[in-house]
Amino acid sequence: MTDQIVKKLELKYEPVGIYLIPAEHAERYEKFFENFAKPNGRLTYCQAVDTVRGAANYSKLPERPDVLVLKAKDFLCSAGAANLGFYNLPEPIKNGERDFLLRRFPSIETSKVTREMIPHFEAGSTSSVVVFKLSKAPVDPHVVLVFGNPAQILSLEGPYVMKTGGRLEIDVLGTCGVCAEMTVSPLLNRKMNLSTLCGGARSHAFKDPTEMGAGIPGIEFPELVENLLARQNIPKRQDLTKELQ
Amino acid sequence: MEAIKTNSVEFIPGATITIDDDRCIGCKKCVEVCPEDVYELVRRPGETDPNKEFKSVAVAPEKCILCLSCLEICAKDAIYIDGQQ
Ligand code: SF4
Ligand code: SF4
Repeated sequence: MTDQIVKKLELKYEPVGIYLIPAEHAERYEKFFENFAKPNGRLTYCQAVDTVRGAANYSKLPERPDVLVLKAKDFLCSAGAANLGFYNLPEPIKNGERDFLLRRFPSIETSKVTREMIPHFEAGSTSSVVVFKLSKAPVDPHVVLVFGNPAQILSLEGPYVMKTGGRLEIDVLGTCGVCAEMTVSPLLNRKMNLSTLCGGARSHAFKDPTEMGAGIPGIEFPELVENLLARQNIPKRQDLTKELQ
Repeated sequence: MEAIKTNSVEFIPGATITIDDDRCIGCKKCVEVCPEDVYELVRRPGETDPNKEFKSVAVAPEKCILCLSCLEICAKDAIYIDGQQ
């Protein structure tokens, strides 16, 4: 399936799969992943994603891993870890001060409201996150992240609604792009979300400014690829029966 | 530096911060954006180049909340947090 989407969309890098281990029963789940690579120092979530897909190696391991298991202590970006449910946001980020000081907002209040609206899991609900190159998936992903240029991401939109019809409502602000918009939002809202990534992701990892991304619930991904490929099999007008033409 | 405990609900601050003195131009941007006052600007002793009169020093890395504002704002890529930019 990975090969098919990479080939069809001519993606530069494979999609990345994400599996979240909940704090509840964590030990049992974590045992399954104990032999997979852990980073040898802190890195941001987007750096971990960029590492496993093969664009760089931020893991501080001598060889670039295809699978990385991250715990709270491995995160360089507290907002990313908090969005993913590892812990509470540090107070100066939560209360809006951090983004206000970056001059992104004219007041602390607007900064705080915007921060509160970023999709996030409950603090303490996640114990580990497993990030992997999709062709090396050790488990079915909860979310699949596809990165590409706008034309490549556009190619996913029609097939996503192909069987039901409809439109996509996107939950985006260009803040916490890879963690909140591409990973948490598709899980909370149970539907594909698009992201233009964020300043952080582009500063710490994703260096190609033409890239954007789509986060797809893992459960929907096989059908999306199927639809993408099936589109070329939709009958042409001249193949339809007379009544339908 | 105290490690963050897995599954602990509260974030525990602290990081290892390194500033590349050769790159830092003392523009003060990191001082201005840091919500925890981790940085201070200090005069470089004996410096004659007016563009290099000041440099930033991480005086309180134990307060760092890993917001990464300093990494994003530093136009000279002079700051490393736990070895990453
Ligand atoms: S933002 Fe960078 S160049 Fe400016 S004072 Fe801080 S470390 Fe130095
Ligand atoms: S990461 Fe945030 S809290 Fe830490 S030194 Fe940089 S600006 Fe200050």
